[in-house]
Amino acid sequence: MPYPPTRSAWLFVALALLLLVAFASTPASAFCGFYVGKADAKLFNEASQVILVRDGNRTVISMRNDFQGDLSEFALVVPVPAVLQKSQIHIGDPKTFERIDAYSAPRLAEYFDPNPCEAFKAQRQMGAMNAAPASMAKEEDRKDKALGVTVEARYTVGEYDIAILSATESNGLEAWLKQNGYRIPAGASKALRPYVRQNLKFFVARVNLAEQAKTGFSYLRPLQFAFESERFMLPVRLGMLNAKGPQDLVVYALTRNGRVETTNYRTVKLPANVELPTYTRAEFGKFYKALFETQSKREDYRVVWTEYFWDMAWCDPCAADPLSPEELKGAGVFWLGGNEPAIGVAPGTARPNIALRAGSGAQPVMLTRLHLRYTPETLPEDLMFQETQDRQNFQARYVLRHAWKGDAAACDAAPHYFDEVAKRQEREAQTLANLTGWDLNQIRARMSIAAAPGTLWWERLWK
Amino acid sequence: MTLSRRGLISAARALLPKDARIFQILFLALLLTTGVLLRDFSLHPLQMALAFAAGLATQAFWLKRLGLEQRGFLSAIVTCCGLSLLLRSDTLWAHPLAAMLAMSSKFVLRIHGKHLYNPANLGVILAITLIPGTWVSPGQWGNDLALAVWLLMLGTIVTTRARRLDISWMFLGAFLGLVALRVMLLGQSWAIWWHQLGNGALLLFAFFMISDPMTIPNRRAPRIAYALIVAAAAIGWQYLLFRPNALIWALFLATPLVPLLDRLFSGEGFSWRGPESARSTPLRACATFGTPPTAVAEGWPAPARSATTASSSFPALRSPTSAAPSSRPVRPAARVR
Repeated sequence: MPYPPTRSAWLFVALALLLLVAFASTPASAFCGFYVGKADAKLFNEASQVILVRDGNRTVISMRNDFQGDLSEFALVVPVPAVLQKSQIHIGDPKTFERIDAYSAPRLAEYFDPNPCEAFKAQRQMGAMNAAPASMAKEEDRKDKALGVTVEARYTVGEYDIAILSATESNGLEAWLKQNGYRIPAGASKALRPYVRQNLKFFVARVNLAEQAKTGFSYLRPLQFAFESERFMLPVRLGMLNAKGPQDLVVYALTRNGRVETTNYRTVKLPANVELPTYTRAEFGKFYKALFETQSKREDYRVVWTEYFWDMAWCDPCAADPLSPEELKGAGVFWLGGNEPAIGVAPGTARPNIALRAGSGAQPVMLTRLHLRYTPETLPEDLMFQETQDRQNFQARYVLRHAWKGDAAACDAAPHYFDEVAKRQEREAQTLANLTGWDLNQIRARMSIAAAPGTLWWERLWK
Repeated sequence: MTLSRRGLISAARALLPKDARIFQILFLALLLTTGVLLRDFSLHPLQMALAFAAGLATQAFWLKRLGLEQRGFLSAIVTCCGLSLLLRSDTLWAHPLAAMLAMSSKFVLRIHGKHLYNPANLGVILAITLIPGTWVSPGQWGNDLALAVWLLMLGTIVTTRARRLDISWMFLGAFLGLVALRVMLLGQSWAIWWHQLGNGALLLFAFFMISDPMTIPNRRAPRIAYALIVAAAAIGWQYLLFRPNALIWALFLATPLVPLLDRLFSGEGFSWRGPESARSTPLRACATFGTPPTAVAEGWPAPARSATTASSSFPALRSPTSAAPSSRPVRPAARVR
């Protein structure tokens, strides 16, 4: 028996995806806001997270398993291009996901207006910058063959029992999975068929409870596998078998040259680099969830959003320190030499506004963070990617500008300044309403501003 | 009365552009605007402006050098629109450089009086292989059926006017047919086929690039064969090699077959301004390399237009047999006993 039969098994499956577009701020311009908050992937409870490292045809995929429930029920099925050797499979560190998520998360930055009476010059400068945006019995072998399934290899890696299968037909594969204790959702055979017919192999993993107990962790660690393939893609369709409603996928693509985007779906930068009402500071997470939901719905869940694209050497403002060469290696980056200088900013030091790796020129690692909300209908085809030559940084960054807390009678410039603040606040309210679909009047009430005072000329006339 | 009505109709017809490229430019400009405003194209207005400036200047340079000043800039505008639609770059100099290369190729790479490559296709391929920081975003249009319908409609109008609609439909049929075959062989969902059908980039390619009458075989039979070859190459590139930008690569790789097909199947060359002008100069007269001949090279007006053809603003789809100038002796209708 390859695996003890479990009372039920769950097919938690393959994922995917992606990324995208960069625009925005030029690396040379410093950013003078202060980083105040971020909206990381934990906000999206059901989000699958994948780190996709690619250079040439060499690929390393890391999959984070945030499986909740009885570990004996966990199962993972991923189509892979070839039979993987044991040395191609590795257990990753969940902290890698946390680090890369924190580093690339959408962020909030804030400015404080200077005293308008003194600071014309400073204000101008800020304005300009703001623009930048086993043992198997023979009997079993025989049965497997009857199903057209060949167990190409079996390994125990960390807390996982892994089998690499090849199959000649999908019904046999489904039957094999069922006989071996995987409870397959309806439609599995149909979903598996295209992969079987493309002669792909199946990486099947489940938890070895004894090994898992030895690890001492209460959670599952990420699985990583390295392989060579011309296909730069993520097989997401299998993961939809159990889908109830829209699913979220966050892909962290690490490449050497440029931004990653999907070739068979639109990849679009999330609306960002806009000013928001200052009260958003306390509820940035809520804001970001609403924004993502609204924007995804508006595009009918057919768009892959780019949340971040940046050279790994630095960030501005930094939601977290850039990953060190060791951390990048942990994430699967295989092209860094072993002797890079250590990270410039030690963890635990005061968070810098701009972090630049010590001794860095450009770190030859580009991170593209793609976030996609999709349904089986809106994502009929697996995600295909390409690495572009684009190196223009982009980040989902939102800006708060606090008004100067002075007196309108302080100087001649002050009344004009407060007029401008009122206009700005109205713009911020409208931006927030547009991005999130929230009620504009409620936003105004929270901001304690009146409805667009004097925006219409006749209102001003008969006031 | 009758006369004046006829006069009005022909006057109205005369107002309509006779050159399919006018429509092509209008539609490409519309698509470009749509892309930039509604589809988040990461295209900087300055990149577009520089592409046009460089493309038109290059055209002017070659026209002057070769003494062809009267031949105009329509094709250059079409090429610059195409480059702006397809090419993406994080620098400002990639677009103008690509435009220069594309336009120059028209005057330098000539075989049998026709330029070899579709200039926009060659410009894009040269840019993504030679210029750092350039790429093509094949997913930029999304897979929107409404958009697909619009593209179909607009594309049909342009290719009808250019009298080369057969290649667009044959290419689409072959490509989507092969996708359908793959869906069936792999047991995939038909949603994948629809997903491909709604692909804006595919339709744009079919109606605005492969249909370029100057860079495809002159005769219908080889033209259809050519469409099949490009479709098969694109499928291979995409589904066997798993590489992006299959359409433009397939066209680029298949282009050298055009002169070969033209040689095997000799036929009448194309002129943008109607069949008559092409007829006015025999094909053999322009079988020179490098020196643009009188009437056959793209966009260059025929020396003279006959009175009977001046008002034919909407030439019908022409089959080689029905519309070609008849050189056969006229048969007597019936023998009188």
